[in-house]
Amino acid sequence: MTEEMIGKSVKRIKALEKVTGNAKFVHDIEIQGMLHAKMKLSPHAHAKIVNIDTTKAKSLPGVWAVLTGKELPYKVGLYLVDKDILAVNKVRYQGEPVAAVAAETKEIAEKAVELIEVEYKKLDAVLDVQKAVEEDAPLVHENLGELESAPVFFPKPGTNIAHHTKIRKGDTEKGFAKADHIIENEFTLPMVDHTAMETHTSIAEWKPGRKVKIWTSAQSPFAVRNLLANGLHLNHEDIEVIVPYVGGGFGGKAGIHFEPLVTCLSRAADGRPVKIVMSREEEFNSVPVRQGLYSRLKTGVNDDGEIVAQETEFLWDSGANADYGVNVTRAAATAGVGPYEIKNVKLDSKTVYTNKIFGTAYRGFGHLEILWAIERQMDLVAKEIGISPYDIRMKNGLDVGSVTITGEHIGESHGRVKECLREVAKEIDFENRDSDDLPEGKKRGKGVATLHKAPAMPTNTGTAAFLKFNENGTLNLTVSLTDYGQGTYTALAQIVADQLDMPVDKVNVVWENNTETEPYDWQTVASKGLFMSGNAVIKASQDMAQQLKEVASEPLRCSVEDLVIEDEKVKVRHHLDKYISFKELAMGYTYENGNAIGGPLVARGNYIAQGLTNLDPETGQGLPALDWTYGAHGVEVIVDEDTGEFEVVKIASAFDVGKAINKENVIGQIQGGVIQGYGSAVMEGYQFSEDGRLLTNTFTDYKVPSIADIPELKPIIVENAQEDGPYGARGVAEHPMLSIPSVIGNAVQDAIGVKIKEMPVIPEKIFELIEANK
Amino acid sequence: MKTINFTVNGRNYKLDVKDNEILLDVLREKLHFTGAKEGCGEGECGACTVIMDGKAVTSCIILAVEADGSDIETIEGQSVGEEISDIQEAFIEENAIQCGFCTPGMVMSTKALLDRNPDPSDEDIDIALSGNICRCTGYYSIRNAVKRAAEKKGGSQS
Amino acid sequence: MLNKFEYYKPESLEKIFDILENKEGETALLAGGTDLFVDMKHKTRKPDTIIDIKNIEDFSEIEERDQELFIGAAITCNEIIESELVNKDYKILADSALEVAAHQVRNRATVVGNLCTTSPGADMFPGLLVLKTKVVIVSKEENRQVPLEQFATGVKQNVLKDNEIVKGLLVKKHVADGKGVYLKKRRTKGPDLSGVGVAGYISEEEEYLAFALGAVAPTPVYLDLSEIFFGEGNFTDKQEKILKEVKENINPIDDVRSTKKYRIKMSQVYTRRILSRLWKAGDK
Ligand code: FES
Ligand code: FES
Repeated sequence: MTEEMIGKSVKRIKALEKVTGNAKFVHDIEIQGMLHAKMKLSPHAHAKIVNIDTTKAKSLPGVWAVLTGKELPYKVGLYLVDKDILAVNKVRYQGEPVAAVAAETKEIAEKAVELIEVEYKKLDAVLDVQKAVEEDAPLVHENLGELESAPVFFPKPGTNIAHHTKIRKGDTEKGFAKADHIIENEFTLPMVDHTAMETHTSIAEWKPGRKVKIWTSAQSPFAVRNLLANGLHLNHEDIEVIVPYVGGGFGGKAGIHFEPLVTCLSRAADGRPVKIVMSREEEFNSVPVRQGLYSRLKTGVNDDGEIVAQETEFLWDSGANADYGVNVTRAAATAGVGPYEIKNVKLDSKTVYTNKIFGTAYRGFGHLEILWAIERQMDLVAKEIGISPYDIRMKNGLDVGSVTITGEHIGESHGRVKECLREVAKEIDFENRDSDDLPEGKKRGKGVATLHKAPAMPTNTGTAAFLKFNENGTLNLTVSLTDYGQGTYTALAQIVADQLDMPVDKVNVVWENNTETEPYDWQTVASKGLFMSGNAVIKASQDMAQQLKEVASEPLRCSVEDLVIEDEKVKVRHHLDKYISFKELAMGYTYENGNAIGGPLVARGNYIAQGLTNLDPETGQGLPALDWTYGAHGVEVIVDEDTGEFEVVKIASAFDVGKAINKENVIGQIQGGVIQGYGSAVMEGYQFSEDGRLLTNTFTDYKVPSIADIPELKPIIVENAQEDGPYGARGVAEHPMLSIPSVIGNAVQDAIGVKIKEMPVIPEKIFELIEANK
Repeated sequence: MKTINFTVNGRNYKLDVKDNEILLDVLREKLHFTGAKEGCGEGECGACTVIMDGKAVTSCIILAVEADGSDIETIEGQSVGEEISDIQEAFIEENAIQCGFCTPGMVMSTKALLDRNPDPSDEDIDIALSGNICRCTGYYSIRNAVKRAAEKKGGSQS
Repeated sequence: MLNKFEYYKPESLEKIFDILENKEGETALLAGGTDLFVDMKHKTRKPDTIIDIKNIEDFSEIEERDQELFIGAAITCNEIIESELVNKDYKILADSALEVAAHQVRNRATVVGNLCTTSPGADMFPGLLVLKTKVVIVSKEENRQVPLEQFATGVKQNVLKDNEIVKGLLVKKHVADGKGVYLKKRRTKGPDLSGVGVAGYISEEEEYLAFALGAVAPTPVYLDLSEIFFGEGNFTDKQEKILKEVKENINPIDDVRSTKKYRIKMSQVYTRRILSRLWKAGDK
């Protein structure tokens, strides 16, 4: 084939189904006899459940099942098993489900929920992480010591600390003693919602023999299956999880959510299928979010800009559950000083329970949050010692030969953060920040910020892929990695097409995910999809190539080594006009006389993370990272000196993606990610009342960017190949949104000198700082 | 209960609906036009956008009875057999679709826009589409798709 | 899900009055429904009867009558934006209407509905206030016209009685040199409720200058500042006086959209900006 397949912008798989409205999301699915579920939610942030009376609800015609926490003695969770399906004995956040109903119609379900009477006794709530770690703070989980967790997490019984990651490198005391300057700052940011456009939706159908079939809007069908099996004590093989089209995830649909609840409701409703759909308000109130973060950074730096010591404290506002939050805390800690080499580091990262909606994975997995502190601190340090924000980053940035805070050595095959930084600084003309052309009172500012992230996952994370031929010589590729918008399937199809030298439209990636028929994948998270599934798909393709050659070698009368794959054919290397087409081999090769050999061809490939180790609990040393993707942003803003109003004029974003397998989709990821980061930066954030009620629970109150908000954006793709990545590729799904808040904060500081330390960056806060500076 | 008469994508319907039924629910659940989505139910996200008597509206805050006598277009009416519309083609070509949940609403808002203004400026596009939230694409490709669709329709000579 | 109610779409005002008189429980009037149905979904309103007013003929009229513009109760925000009449002599209304919600919602949301919901930040108030608008209220017993500045009585409260209905608005036509500006603080450039909304209007010939502010007090604030502005003194002094008036007449709060402090600040800033757009400092 003449065409270069890798690096091409192949059109997205399933675009036609989506653009015609034909794509069926779980929202759109109806199963015959289906009931509708509705939850009763806690109005209090922290309260004892004194009594729940469901008699009236149960007697309402059309109601099939009413459940409360009492009937569900299960705990569910991924890393720390601390979640109730419905609150048991007490509620830990406003919006926590305390009871649920399955009924024939949505109206009846809603009515029944209204008829459930719950008596509460209010308890003192703790809403702030710094208060939550104090000795006499109210406890969110009194039984923390009894909860099950993965062996790499260490809950502290009798406290609100669900996990504590420690990283120790060098000797910070000595480092600070030698430093010319010591600069300390605190930073905060609020919880943020994913706001995937499809809210969480699940259907379960309970079947005889303790079996269940589930349709769900989830990122990771096998994680749902595994956690459901563990939580409800079912056999894995008795659970079928189907994931059709999913309307966005961004981490919010990783792990497990309402699948256990609908399963229990269906069981209680004699096996009628039960569907639950979160309303947008419930999505804000009762579905997990990105954690809030308090950071304290103390930096020792020399006159020349060399950072010699760094002491960091992260307190993560995990809300009422930490099943996923503990791992965010851990993963972010391993990246905890940014893409810089610092000799002496002491870092403490703690997951803290509070009485708020709980945290989970969100695109970037803790990194946007820590980079808010790290990259703002960098500019505050630069300002204090009088050097350029660009120079201080170049001075300390990771290079080949650097050692990270967990002891990893940066080698030739790693990406180049400094190259990304150079590119964006050039693109925004960083040194030139003249304001002469602007009206009076307006000031131009420019900022840069870097970023890095590696996939956060267990050391033994694995995935697999199946390939099978169709009768006409086309291929079906099956993976259980999901594609809920990232475009991974399109890239995987390109890989198969390249490996087997065939047109990409002859590779059909099976869309609907099903745990019954698909090979295992741990989870679709962490930007590891293309890297890991890409490698598995390469192996499967090679397996298929080998099988094709083996069958073809007989009729072609030569050894396998003498065969090559070209243009959908197996050809004899030295006589390229002698060949057999894939189509002739697909279902087994048939000789003229009717004899046949081979048989339908099926191939497989797998991949498991290589060489990762658990971190030492006392020092954090080890290898946590499959691959690091580095990047940088440059931003130009214009700020009103009087009011704090500002306009982001331009964003330049560069990422070392190793190799862009599908350029157009990489750019799509960058654009989408940058704008999501922009939302976090300038408008998004949960606000609570003093008694812990969520105030921002609609799109009226919680704003996300619209088409009218987007600034000029220049995506820059840097390609320094990753040795073990498929074609050298690295993941880039999460990275675009990282450091967007920091770079905007940096540019605003550059323009008018205000030291903004709280997210989101809004005129109200800038104005307060302007006033304070007067 | 009220009996309503209306057309959806050119087809006539006569239907009994309850007074408190929402148009979006009737389209999705009774008539099985599931292309229009519910992203918020409150007029804040545009996922449920359909065209009613030539105008883009959020069908999640309209009663079905209010649609009596009206002419409704949904995403399902935008393609005929294998033939998709210029707008749909432009969305595919510009890679303006990621998860696809917002797409039907985006296409319908775009159609209403181009029907009344075949050559929209960036500002016109912002006004027409800022009620449609997309959390995936960052909107750049969507804006390009609208422009490309306008060009295909011969609106812009550029 | 909406609660159960009975829906009527009468063809005459008399029928509406009949229903209003005879129905038990809460009755809601429906034009665009863009506030009503959202409230009903949140269960903050549960009407037993809904009367759709879109069939009443002159409710859909927008026309000039004598020296006034009549805007019928069923006129949508987008109809205002597209109206030639409005764009010619009442431009500030089109600018204000463009600030209401999203395009699709504006195809349903009505100007009168925006007023009748009577949110402190309702975008149509300030512009209509500075133009001097009367609300035409009808009932079986009497017809009355209420100056808009007397219409709102509290947060989401107004002078309408249970048996009354707003037929439309009468907006004063000012002489041709009049011009107005509406500025609004929002968190996004997309649809957002107002954080602060300030309208200013000047007609030099009439010696009329007024400001109106939304989202800075329980009800929109109207200030006729003609005396200050067209009285004695230099521009800077007058401007200071106007800013002082504005500050003294507002009483904003902290909420998810902004802070009290910033609302005070921005109401001053917008007033100054509007003034400088309406009046070149050296003009007089
Ligand atoms: S679902 Fe109608 S606007 Fe969101
Ligand atoms: S493509 Fe996912 S919301 Fe727009």
